[in-house]
Amino acid sequence: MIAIAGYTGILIALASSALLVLRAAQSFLSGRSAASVRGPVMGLLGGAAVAFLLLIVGLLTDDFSIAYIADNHATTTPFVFKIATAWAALEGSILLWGLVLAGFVYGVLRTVRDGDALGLGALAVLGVVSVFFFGVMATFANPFAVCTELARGACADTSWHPFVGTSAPLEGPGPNPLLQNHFLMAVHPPVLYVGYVGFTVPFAFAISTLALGTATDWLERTRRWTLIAWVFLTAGITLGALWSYAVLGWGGYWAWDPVENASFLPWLAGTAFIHSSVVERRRGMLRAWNLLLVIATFSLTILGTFLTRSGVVASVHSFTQSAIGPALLGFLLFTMIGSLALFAGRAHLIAQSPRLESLASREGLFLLNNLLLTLFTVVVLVGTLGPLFLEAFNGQVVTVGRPFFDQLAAPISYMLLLAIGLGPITPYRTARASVVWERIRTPLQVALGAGALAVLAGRREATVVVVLMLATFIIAVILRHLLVQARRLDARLLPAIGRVVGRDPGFWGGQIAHIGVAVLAVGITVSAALSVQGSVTLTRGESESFAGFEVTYLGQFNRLEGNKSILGAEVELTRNGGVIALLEPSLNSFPNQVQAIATPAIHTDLSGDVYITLTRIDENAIALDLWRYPFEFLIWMGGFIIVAGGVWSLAMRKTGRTTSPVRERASG
Amino acid sequence: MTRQSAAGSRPWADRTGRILSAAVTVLLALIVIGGLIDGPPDDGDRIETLTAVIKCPQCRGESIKESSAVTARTMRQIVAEQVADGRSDDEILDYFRGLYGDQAILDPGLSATTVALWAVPALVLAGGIGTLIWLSKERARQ
Repeated sequence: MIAIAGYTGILIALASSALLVLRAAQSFLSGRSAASVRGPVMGLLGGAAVAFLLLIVGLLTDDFSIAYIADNHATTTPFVFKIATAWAALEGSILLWGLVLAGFVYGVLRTVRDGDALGLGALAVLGVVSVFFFGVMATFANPFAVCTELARGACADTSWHPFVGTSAPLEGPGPNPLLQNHFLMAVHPPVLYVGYVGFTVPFAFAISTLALGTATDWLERTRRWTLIAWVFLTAGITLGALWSYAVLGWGGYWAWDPVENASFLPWLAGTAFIHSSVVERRRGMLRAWNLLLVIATFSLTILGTFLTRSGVVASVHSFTQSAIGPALLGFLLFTMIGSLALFAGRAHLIAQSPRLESLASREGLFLLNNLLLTLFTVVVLVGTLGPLFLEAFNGQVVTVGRPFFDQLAAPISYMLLLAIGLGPITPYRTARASVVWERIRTPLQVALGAGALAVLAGRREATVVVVLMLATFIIAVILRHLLVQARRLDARLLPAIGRVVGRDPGFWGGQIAHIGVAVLAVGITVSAALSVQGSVTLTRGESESFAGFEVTYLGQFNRLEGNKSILGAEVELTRNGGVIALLEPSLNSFPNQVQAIATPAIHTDLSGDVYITLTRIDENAIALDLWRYPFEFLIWMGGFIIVAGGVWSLAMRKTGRTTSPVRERASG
Repeated sequence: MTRQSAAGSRPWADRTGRILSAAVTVLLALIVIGGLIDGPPDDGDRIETLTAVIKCPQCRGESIKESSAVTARTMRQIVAEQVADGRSDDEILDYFRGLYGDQAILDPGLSATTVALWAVPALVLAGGIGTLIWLSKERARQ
């Protein structure tokens, strides 16, 4: 019953998407009213919502006749993860994707007026993307395919036809243990999807602009959508890194894993786009480049989806291999060839001759930012896809790992940090050296002071000292700028700061994000350069010292939490004789997997983290891997300050007055 | 405003302030530079660098420095022994290449097969810098 209704929902969404394409294209061409597209959009949203809700109902009512549920669900799974199972595997994740997309289409519809060719064209493009995703769900990746044959308690054969005889197992295996071991895994995918899917909106408006062949206000109209997508993508990546750190127990948070890269690529391109769109809105430059960047960002989100779901790369994220891989690859090629052909044919109608007055200007630094972010994107792209291509064409297996990425990412990041420091205080058009010098002199001294303090405190790692100085410089420049602006207002300092920051949320939201980047950079560098790693074997009551701490094995414990059975060790952490924490690293096992998951125990204080995983436990002894990561929390703090900056821009923009696009804010 | 007029009436104090400020800046810079001038890498540094580029054969994309697998631990030991024996970085890496093939080294290095990995970013960088120069020249001609 659920299978039939759910599949019907998907078919309704698919048919509505197709109708949306037709009607929106018709209105786009004839300049007619926007009323005719409302029905299809509601059908799309309704069909997607019904399908998604029914999948959740199916999970909560243990409807094992649906193959997806039979393969990924268990009656014993805790409630939160029962719901999260709806996006824990391939078909469900595509359904969530479709639902988020439908939500965005509805949001766009609300901004489209009669005769609004730009908006109607964008809706047609969004319709095409929906046709693809719901088409995939209706064929290769049907979340409501029914189970027709059982073998060893699992679903051996499925059918999309909901009326065939079904056979349902009595109990399923439950979701992947790695996914149900931590609450973050329920949150990370939906957040990331909102980010991924959100970039479809500016892409659709860009294609519509190209189809119109004239300059439009597409950037102004999609600014909010782009920011929403970017905020969620940033949050999704940060949560993913946090999950990797807190759950996977390998002692790290980022491995340049192909699928991590797949989420980082659209983030890099999207970040470049956010910056270059400022230059277009302010100065009318870079029109063609912005169109190209948003096409690249969208293509990279599809590439990311392809990499995660096709099985071409081995990764912790990979879903099982299926026919959806070729479909996604086809759609990726269609998107890229189609948009680039349109771009090649129309961009000259939209682009303007460059009016760069001087490279030494805010525009110049924005260009540098774009060059660096594009270069970063290319490095990550080459490092991720390079080995695949080399293997396919030369048959040569090449390993591209952390050293490759680190070698190239580090110098690019240093340059980016420097540009972040200089950008916000460099005037538009032409920057006089004396003006810039006046604004950076004190911050430069503060940064040198921070570097000198680090050196005097005994730090000799060049990366640590350099990044610390760059980060201090960034933050000092921003704070100085804030204070100078606030002092000009005739008010007490704190209210004046509030007014300055609230008056121009776009600019100051960006500066909050920049402070987040500075904090993140320090966290990444310091935690890596000053990390200490060790492993110990302890018998009961025995102590061993590690990185200035004493680690004592007190005893073991065994308990059951829902369907998760936890075998762990009680480990006491002391420093200078004082007890700091009682940590419980454990091996968690789930009924559906023999191999237990080593779940780390992490102690965090102001000096950083002590991270312990249990590698072996028996009657008398345990073996532990230990890591000391100084100031690791700065990484998460930085990530969330970046998100906060985006949220500030978004939230304040709604209520605040819109500022004139030509006013020069920071140069005054 | 007030600061400027005060300094204006006392040019001597202003100049002293500036000289002092410059002196402090130079001093701080010297401390930083002095601290970062590095001697040749010691054995510990070399082991760190080497273990970071040798792949743990049992793991997925992890180096033997990061991995906690038993094999990785043994391999770290081997690296430390070979460093202590005075073998060069290349000799040590070649030793592991001999055991596990080229993919034992995470750093793809520069070779006939991997040249594209380095060439593509280099070309993009060159193209980008070229475009920036062209944009500013374009302006000069107008």
